[in-house]
Amino acid sequence: MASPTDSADRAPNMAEPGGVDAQLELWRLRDAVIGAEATAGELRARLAVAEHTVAALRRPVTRRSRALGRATGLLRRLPGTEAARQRAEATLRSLGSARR
Amino acid sequence: MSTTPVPPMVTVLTPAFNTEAHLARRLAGSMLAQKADWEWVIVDDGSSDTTGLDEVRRQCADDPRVTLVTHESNQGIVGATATALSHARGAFVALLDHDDELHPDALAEVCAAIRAHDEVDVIYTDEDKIDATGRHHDLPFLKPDWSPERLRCQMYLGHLMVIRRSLMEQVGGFRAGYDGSQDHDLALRVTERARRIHHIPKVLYHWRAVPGSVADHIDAKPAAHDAARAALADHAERVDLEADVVDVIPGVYRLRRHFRERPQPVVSIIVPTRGSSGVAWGSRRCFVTATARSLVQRTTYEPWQFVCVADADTPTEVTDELAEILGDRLVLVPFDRPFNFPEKINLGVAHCSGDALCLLNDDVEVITPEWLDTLVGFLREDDVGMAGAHLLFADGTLQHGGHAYFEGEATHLMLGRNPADDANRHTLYCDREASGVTAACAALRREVWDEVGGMWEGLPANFNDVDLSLKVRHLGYCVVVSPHARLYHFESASRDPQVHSWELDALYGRWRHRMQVDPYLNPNWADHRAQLIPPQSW
Repeated sequence: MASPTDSADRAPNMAEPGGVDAQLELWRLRDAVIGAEATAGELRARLAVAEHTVAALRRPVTRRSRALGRATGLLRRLPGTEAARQRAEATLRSLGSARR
Repeated sequence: MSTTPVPPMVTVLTPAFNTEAHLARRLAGSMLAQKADWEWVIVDDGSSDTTGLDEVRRQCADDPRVTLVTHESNQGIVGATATALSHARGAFVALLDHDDELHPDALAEVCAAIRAHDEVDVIYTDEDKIDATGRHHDLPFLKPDWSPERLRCQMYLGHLMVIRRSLMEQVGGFRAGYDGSQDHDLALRVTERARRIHHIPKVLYHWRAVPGSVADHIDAKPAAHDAARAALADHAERVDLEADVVDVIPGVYRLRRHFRERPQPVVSIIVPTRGSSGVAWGSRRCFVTATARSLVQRTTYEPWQFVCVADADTPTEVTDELAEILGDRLVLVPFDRPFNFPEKINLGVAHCSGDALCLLNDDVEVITPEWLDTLVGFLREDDVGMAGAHLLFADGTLQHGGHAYFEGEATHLMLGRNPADDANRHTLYCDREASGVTAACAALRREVWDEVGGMWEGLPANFNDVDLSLKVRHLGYCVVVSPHARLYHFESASRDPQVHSWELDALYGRWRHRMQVDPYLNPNWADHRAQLIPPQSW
């Protein structure tokens, strides 16, 4: 934290004509820069979701993948531990893999 | 040619003394159920009754992963753990008490976390309590992600705690002289040096609460309190915190920062107002003058100034009364534009001279005289950007204990709860990190304010404090909230709570991706008030 003498140096500058407006404009610009960075992060997150959605839509739906999808949905509604669910889902995924 | 066995990922260390046979059977069973790459080192610390450890031998005799070492005489938990550590080969060590149990998935989850997170040095999980028969009782402790300020109040990492072995050896393991709080002392020392600390939000450890145990009653080992205070004082010295260790309730402490060795900075309290009146506790009051009077009468901190940003229609008698109450402390800043809370605050800060700022609504009343000392004390740490208070409604229930993001929406943590509730192992008694704090009472360093560019004027009424908190965290600072800074906030009496959809759109346009997960809100909470989802879904 700055020492108390720093504030004494700062206050008179703000008293100059236009000092307050210049300070407010500086803060607005800094806010806008951080806001732009945050917005870019938000857009990147949305882009990733959109890409994932389109990739999923492009994947061909086969009788087998539809059945596996239903089985996975059923599995997720069953009681049990998270680890057990993950193991069962991994088993289902391996059943649906073209590399079997 | 002989081959050296590959070391396991995790070594479980268990110091044991006169372990009861039925507990040893359950302990060994919970270890043998683990589905990960582990070894187990048990140290019989000079037991006079070895029936329990004989049971472990019987169950595990043929298992090469299990090592049982015997001390000829009792060396206490510190010596026994040191012996166990000297036999450990795993990259990480996990601490398991001789009367507790691990969830069958515990070590598998820990190993998955180790593989998933580079540079992780400390891992901890959620926990619950079981009785002598293994029945779960009491609500589980669903912990926040890494919260260093909370660790300064409470040994919240608790069980299961897993530490990189090289780090454990570097700090020398448990220290003698801290019996009863040796784990808190260790947690403070390892987390000071850890590169990364990871929380697994799953109940993977079952802590046995039997009569006479600390799990059953915190006062079971009174010397543990002295050890905890000593550990915290040592920590404060190591990390250069000018603070006193203070008891809050049994098992909860606080590092109260002091200013004995340096001058207290000038704090500019920025209070926007239009001089409105309303009813509190059945009688009518002008909010801003009542706030000013309460500050003058009850605030112990010095020096401070009161920067009042007053709308043009603020009655003259109100500003006159403020001048009378505050004298030289008052800096009056006129504001003659349509209502915009951030604009008023930014204008006030531009006119102030303080090195620290405290944004304060005009409808508050001080409860704890040291509220400002507490908030400003946190700001001395370089990584703390913002500090907030507990605000209470007029009926004494909690209005604000920090922001919480629940299902992507911003709300107030523990809204409406009794501040004396034992919510989630005394959360409301602990200083702690939060995702944000309300601008109704928030302290910031002046340079942090300059760095974030003040408040965003694009949100005139709602969520501007959520945005400010997120900006502060975006720049790498943390936000802390303290129950030891407490004020009444008569919010419902002075504010239209309507939220417009465009305000949400504006907030989400910047920050939705940062609001999906709140690191300080355990995902197993059913809501922001620490209500729990049904146990069968854990």
